[in-house]
Amino acid sequence: MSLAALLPVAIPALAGALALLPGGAGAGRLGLAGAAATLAAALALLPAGLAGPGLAFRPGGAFGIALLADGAGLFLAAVAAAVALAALAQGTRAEAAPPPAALALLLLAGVNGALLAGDLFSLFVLSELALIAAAGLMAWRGGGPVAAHLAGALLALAAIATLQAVTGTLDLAELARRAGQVPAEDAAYLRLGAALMALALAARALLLPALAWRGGGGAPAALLLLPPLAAVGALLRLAAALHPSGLAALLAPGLAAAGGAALLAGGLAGWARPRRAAAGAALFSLGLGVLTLSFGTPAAVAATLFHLGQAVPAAALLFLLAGPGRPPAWLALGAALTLAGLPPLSGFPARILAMQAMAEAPWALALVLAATLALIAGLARAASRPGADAPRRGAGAVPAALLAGLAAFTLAAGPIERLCARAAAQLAAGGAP
Amino acid sequence: MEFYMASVIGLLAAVGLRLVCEGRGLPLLLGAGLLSQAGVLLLFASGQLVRNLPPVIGKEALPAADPLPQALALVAMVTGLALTLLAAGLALRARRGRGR
Repeated sequence: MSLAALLPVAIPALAGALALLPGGAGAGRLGLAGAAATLAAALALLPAGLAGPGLAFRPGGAFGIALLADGAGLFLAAVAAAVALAALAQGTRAEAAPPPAALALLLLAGVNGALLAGDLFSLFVLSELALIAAAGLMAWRGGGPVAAHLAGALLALAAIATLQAVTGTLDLAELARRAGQVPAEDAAYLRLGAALMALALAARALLLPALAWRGGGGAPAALLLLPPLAAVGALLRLAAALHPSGLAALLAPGLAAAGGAALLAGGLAGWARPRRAAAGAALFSLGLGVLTLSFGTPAAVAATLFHLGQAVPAAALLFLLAGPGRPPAWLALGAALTLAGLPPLSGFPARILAMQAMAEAPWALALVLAATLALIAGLARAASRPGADAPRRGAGAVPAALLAGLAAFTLAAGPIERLCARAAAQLAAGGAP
Repeated sequence: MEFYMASVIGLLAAVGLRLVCEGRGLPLLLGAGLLSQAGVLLLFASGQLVRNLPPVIGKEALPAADPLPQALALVAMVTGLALTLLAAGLALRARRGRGR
């Protein structure tokens, strides 16, 4: 049992609570320090997390709550912390109404918790925390996203109840073991529970963002990328846990269809309405992640990790550039190249890995290519629109730093690809205690 | 007992869903509350519906109630309540923002 596994969740949670204290002059700096410390903790734990089954925190043995800091979870947690750091920095530097640091940090705590959750119930509670913080960040007007969120939460609860009733455990490692031993008369309930859980996570990863992003940009929009990222990460874990019993193969067509639909909708959204190009590109990236992970092989899991690791920061960069303060538009070119998968940036190796993973399915390749074409056209149309606000000095510093980070990711593509492959192998081996 | 429990859960979920479909304001909130109660009851029933059993496993191998779903139901209730209150706060905020 390792307390270190708690760090990527505990640091932002504590810093977020401190930022809530009255006299909030230092809240902005506290937010930056908290996000930076979370990023450092996730990166520092990564080597230990990749060894064996990962760092596990299981205070209640196989029955209680569990956090499992493995390679995949820590990698995505580091990505989430980096995006939160960039959004907070841009918010304080360039935006008149920056997102509150406490909300952003609580969001990060929930997202990291959901990424590292070792059991389905911690996953549920921590993603609720992330979504509550996200709700605070979003100025929700209509009832659409609220109802979709509710439906997702209810599906997750029903799935948890069904899986608990059939297998007697919610721990993912234990579930992987017991799912194969369920008696034949209960197998239908097991399938139902697994399908409900996958549906709830897919709704959070794809449907909620599609409903919630209504144009606009800036730091809050970049932060709202994180809950869907956590949902895709949780889908990766769920699929790995369901793989030994063959249930993952049952869910794969549904996940592929959902991912493909989001991919196409995201690509076309930017083409139809340039104002929504950033949101469309983000949806495209999340859809591509879900489509890739639905193939289920270790290569597909590694490709999903690599893709998310650079596409989510690139989408965040696009959101920051669409925000107030009008940072220089040429920075958007780097984000667009990354998201469209064109050389020379890291989107290109990511797309090659993803397409290699889905080589056996020509329809998926055709879908990805068609959606990419629409995405490129949409991003080009969006780039040629004149801006409305007056440019603000210094607004480009944080986006430029994020772009430099993407360039560094490209330079380190080889080692990062090996890291993703190791994390995928670890996920396939299962995180048994 | 399972039949009655399932009926109650179904009824709560149906009424909640109908209210949520109104799409705004108080009905949405009430429907959300009812739906989350249905979810909690479902969670509670996943242990198995038994009466007068000790809540934890003792030294003797007596039959015992499964404590985990009860803990889960408790947590789900708290989260659901927090979420409902937050939604209520957001709704009030939005209403004031529109100047009414």
